[in-house]
Amino acid sequence: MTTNGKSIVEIRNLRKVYTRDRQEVVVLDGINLDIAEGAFEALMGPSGSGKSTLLNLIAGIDAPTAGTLRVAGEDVSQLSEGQRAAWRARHIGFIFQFYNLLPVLSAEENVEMPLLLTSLSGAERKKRVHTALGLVGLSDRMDHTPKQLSGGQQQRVAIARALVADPTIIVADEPTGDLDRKSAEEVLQLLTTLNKTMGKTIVMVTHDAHAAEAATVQRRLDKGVLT
Amino acid sequence: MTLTGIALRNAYLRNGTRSFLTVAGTVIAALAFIFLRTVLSAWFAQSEASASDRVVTRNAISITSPLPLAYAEKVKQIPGVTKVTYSNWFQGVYKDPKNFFARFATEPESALDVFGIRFVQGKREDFLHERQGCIVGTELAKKYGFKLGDIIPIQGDIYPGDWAFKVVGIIEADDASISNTMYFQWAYLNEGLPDRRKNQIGIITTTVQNPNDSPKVIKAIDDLFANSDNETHTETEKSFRLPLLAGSSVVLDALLVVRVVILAIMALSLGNTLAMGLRERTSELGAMRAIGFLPKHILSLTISEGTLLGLTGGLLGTLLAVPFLNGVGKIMSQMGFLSNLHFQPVTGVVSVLLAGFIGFLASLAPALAASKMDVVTALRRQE
Repeated sequence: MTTNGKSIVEIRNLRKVYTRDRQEVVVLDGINLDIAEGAFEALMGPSGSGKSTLLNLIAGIDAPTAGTLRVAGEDVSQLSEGQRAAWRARHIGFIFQFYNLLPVLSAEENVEMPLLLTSLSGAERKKRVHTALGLVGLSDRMDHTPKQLSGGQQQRVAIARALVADPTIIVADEPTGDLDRKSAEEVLQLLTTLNKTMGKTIVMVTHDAHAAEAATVQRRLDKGVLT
Repeated sequence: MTLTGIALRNAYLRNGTRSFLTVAGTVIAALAFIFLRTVLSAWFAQSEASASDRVVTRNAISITSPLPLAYAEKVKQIPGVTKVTYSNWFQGVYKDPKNFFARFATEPESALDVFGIRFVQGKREDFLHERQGCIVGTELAKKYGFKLGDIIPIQGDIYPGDWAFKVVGIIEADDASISNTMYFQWAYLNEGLPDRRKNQIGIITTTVQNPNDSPKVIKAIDDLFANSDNETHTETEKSFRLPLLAGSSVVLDALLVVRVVILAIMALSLGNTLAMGLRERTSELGAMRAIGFLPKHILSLTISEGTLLGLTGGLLGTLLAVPFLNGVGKIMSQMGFLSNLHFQPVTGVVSVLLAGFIGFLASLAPALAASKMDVVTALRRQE
């Protein structure tokens, strides 16, 4: 999908410092970044480069030490923990490396999880869940629990869960890291489709160069700095 | 789907073996709690049935040391005393040692008055005049099929020899324990004893005119026999019965402590299970938080799990307690102890609610820890 030029992520002079054993560790330093609405971007870099931290900041599950971070029109760095949670529920869809599905729930129920935070009726939630599972090609696996699904299928359920609340941005942290090559291809194909046909903005962290090729933009981080 | 539905499945389906063992532990704890509570209630209820206007005097050395017969007459002279009777614990064996019930040799006329004994069958006069006559409580008569005119053979142990008693009355009284008791004439016992054991009595039961004066009467009795060869120890019938039933009040205290210990073990077991479960799914909880669930959602989800496990254990324990207590009650009754031991619905309700509350309490600490967990840290912790 082509972007409309409007930035959905605007990062200025972003700095993130962790304190470990009284030692300050600079994870991100002076990051300036704009991500256009409708983009599919890959953040790459070696372990410890800060790519996951940057993704967490964009997703609003971590707070910056300094700098400004506007995502989906909101200065996320100014939001309280509770406000950020509500903001995430509205704007962010998450895809994790290890899927993080609830094993006691079926695929259908796992996908429904984000909708429990909305005021949608049960019938409306069901409709949306079925649509999302249809998009990832798992309409026939709705009653299956994660244990009854392959890794690739579980990740597709996770993608449906990320989609179901119609978020502004989908963030994916190593979405193919736990998958075999074939399943990884399917997942990447699915993400590409979501980006191209539904216009979803996707920010993906990966250290797999092949996976990064699926994105329209690749960025590299090294020692906390965008190169 | 609701958060409660998720809590239900987490509690029971996530790890079936662990849930089963946790619930089984809670069931056993609930069962033990109900059993102890019922036994203690029955114990106290038996002492509560004691008349408030009666005091009991025994030898200060111990209940097994006798008092001279003459003491009973002297107690009668104390101001505030209205009636006095005396008795000896006879014990003995009726056919088989397991046929245990209370047997007392007593002064008949005063005993009937002091204990407020009523005749359901037979006549008061028969008991007063029949030397070998005995009267038996209604429950006892029902249990062993005693009828008027029957001869009850007892093999003596404290008072050796073969003794035989003729049933001349079936009795009842406000004091329920009397329905399981047999009384016979003290004089008949005294006649059959060697000279060195004659004219000795076990306890003196005294009725006081005004229950409020009991402390004064108690003091007066013990003062009367102070510095004698047989000093006395007098107390209200209620306090006399408790240690007599328990063997020692220490046993009662120990049972109360055990009851609290059981609850503590239940809480620790539940808390441990929940903490383990939560540790194992830290990243899942992190994902939920990332999606937008708030700490309060995680808190209520986790607390619901603990409460549900506690409630389930409590409920199953209560259901099992009904046949268990009825069975034990039957055995105890046959042995002559705690004939009023049976399942009480209020104890069941208390146990279920208490088990749920303990589940709630036990889950508080791990639930708070889970809800306060940093999202990024939680997501990093992957099995």
